[in-house]
Amino acid sequence: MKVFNRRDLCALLLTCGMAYFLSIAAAEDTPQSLFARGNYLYEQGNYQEAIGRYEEIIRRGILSADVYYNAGNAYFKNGQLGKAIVNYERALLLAPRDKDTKKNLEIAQNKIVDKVKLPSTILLQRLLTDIHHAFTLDETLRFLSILVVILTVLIALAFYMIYARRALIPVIAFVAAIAVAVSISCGIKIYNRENAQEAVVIVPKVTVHSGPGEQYSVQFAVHEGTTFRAVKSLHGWLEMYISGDLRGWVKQEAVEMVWPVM
Amino acid sequence: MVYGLWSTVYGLWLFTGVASAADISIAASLDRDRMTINETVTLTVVISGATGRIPEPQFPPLADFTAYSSGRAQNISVHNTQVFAQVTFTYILVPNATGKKTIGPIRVTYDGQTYSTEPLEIEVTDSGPQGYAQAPSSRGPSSQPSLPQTGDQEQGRAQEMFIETYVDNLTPYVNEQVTLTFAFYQAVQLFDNPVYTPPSTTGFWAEDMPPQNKYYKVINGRRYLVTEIKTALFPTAPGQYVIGPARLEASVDRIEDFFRRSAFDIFDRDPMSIFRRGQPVILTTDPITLEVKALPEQGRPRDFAGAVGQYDMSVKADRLEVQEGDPVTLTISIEGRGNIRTLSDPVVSVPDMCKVYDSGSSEEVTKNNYVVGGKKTFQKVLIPKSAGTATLEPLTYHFFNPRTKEYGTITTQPIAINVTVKPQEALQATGPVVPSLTYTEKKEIALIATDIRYIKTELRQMTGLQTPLYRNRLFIYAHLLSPLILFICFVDARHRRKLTQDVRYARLHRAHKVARKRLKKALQRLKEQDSGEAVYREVYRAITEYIADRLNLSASGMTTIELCDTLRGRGVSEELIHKTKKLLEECDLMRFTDVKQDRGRFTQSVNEAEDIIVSLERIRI
Repeated sequence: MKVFNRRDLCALLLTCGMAYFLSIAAAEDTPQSLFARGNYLYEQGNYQEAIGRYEEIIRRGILSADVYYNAGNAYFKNGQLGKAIVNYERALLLAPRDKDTKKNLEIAQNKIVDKVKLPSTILLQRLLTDIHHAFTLDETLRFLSILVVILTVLIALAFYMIYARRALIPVIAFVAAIAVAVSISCGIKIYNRENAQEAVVIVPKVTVHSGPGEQYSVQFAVHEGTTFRAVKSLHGWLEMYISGDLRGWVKQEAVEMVWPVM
Repeated sequence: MVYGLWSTVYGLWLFTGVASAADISIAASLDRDRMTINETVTLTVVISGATGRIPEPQFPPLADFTAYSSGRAQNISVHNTQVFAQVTFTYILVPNATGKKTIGPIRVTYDGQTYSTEPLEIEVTDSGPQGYAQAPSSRGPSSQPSLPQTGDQEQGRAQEMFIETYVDNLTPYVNEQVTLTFAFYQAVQLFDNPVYTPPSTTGFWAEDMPPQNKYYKVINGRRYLVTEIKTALFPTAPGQYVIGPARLEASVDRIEDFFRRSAFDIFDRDPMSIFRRGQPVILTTDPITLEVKALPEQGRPRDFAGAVGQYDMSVKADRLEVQEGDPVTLTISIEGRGNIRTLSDPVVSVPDMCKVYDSGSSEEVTKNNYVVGGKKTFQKVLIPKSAGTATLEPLTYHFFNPRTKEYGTITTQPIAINVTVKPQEALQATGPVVPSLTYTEKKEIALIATDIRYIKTELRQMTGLQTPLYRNRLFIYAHLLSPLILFICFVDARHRRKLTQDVRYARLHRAHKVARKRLKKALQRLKEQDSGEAVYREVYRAITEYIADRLNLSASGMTTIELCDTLRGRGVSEELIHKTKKLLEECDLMRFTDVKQDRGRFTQSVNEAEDIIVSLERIRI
């Protein structure tokens, strides 16, 4: 007696084959495999295809500094300076102390046509700015939480241990001062995320108008890679601010917001 | 002349008498009326009057003279209670131009009155009679010093002192030593040390030759102390050169004049004159012109380096047997007479197997018998690069001898250095002997091009899009807990502190708790079938101690009536007071009598006590 006839056997083989291909397809779809495939394509010099793989990971809502960094590299090699800068900036938001990202962003920014004159800063100001940018918002908030817990315990101890109060007060003042500084840093980061977001020009050249429309006079032109602060958007136009009097409206499709990524 | 003036003034004072003694008189005089441009003249201004405060004289502008103050002398005398003073001001005048010159009038102001002298006249000539400033002309080394030619009036003074400069050779060769001698002849005592300003010697390499030479010399029957200062000069280039005039400033002591006069004249002179400063004298010499000859072309060696004098040369190596790479120090010494400091480096030619490095030079300059000479030593380090015999060619050095007027050449013996192979182990153990030979010059790494850094090969961290932490409710609430916890801690700490510090607060706080504990104990005793006395004792204590704690009173010794009165005084209702009084009386009855009570009543009494305490707890007493 036959257990399987030929037809059943064919159906079984077909099913197994489909399962195999589906599993391969599923494997191809994991972020890790997409990342590895992107890297392979990057090494082959196929930057456009590599960008596709990295963007696929990002489209799935996965946040990874490594993905943004590699995407930035692929865009840079592909000659898309603006997109490269956007992705480096995003990578820095997630991993602000990554030296490779900082270096590549510096190289990319050196290739920008526009030279933006930044206000001069003193050493202390630069130091504080560097510390402020060295941590992500979440890192800063967690650090603030730790400081609040420490401060609560110290103040509670000062309530109960009257004899140790004199010794505790300077420590409390020190921790409180750090907590205030960290709170200010958090406040700035939150404000920037909620209101004044950064955007980068991703087209070779774009004109900046005095209002949200072509009918408004052209103020000036900016080139690919120039980073600015987006103030508000209206009817597909974005109000931008670079520095000093460099303020105007630019078409939204010519720029890309650094955050949010979607 | 000063004394003559003094006599005149004194005579006038006697003549005018006391009535005119308050007047001021002023007189001025020069020690001569003719002088040459190189001489100085002494101006004496005498101001006298019947006052202790003699004012300073005022001069008109002296454009034709440069004036130096030479001090002042003061003479004060008291005659019939009248003070009489005389001040003598002395000035040295140096003429700036020739011609007939007028000095003055010189004025003095006293009590609003101005007194003045007559103008003084003096003739300044270009040449003619010479005084102190006369210097004998330069002369050759063999010439004798001659007295300056002076006028009749100045002859005596001119013989007292004079200066001269001379050189031993007026036509030297380039870089040949010329000895310049400055001689100061003095036959008088000097008031202080003279100031010597040497002549300018532009175009010469000068070498001082101390010490000063002092000796006595008799000229024309007069004995002079001669002080000589010698300087070695080496002309740097051929041509005509001028050694400038030397200058000497001296102060002449005139004390011998004081005693030279007659003993009877002593009262006729200024007795303070012995305290005067010396009379300044400025002496200068004439410039000396030298014709410096170029070194002869004839017979000049091709590699002649300009050494002039007479020299000898020696060379020696610190060792003659070395291993390859080990240094050998060559010491080359050039010794003799001449300008040692300017001797050039001798040329050392070494075989190809060696390298030579300069290691510096040193000089030892001698000035024996006022002839400059000495030794100059050059050191060179020789590094043999390979094994074998390194033979140093004989060194030659050329110089021009100005005595023979010929070029001379000195040659050393050749030096052979045996260089052996250095063992490999020694090289490894000791490393390079001369770091400069084996040192690898380090360079900064140059960036050829800039490119972005490589991609990340591993996906290290991944997170999904999520609500930011600052919007996370749990995170926000967790932070709100902090002030709440702090508030609780604050209240609790305050309460605990009060319990330890405030007795009233502590008793009030524990009153209900203690009372309940007592009642609980009473019920416990009831359960344990204990006597009624024990149960009612606990009930009584529960009520009385509760009230005492609430009111911060002592429970012991307080009677039921006192307790009720206290409650009444705190505004407690009569019903509650009555209820409390009834229960306390029952407790007393049960505690101190043998009355048997139903056990149900025990429980009821405990419950009543609890009601009373709860009722009291609710009201503020």
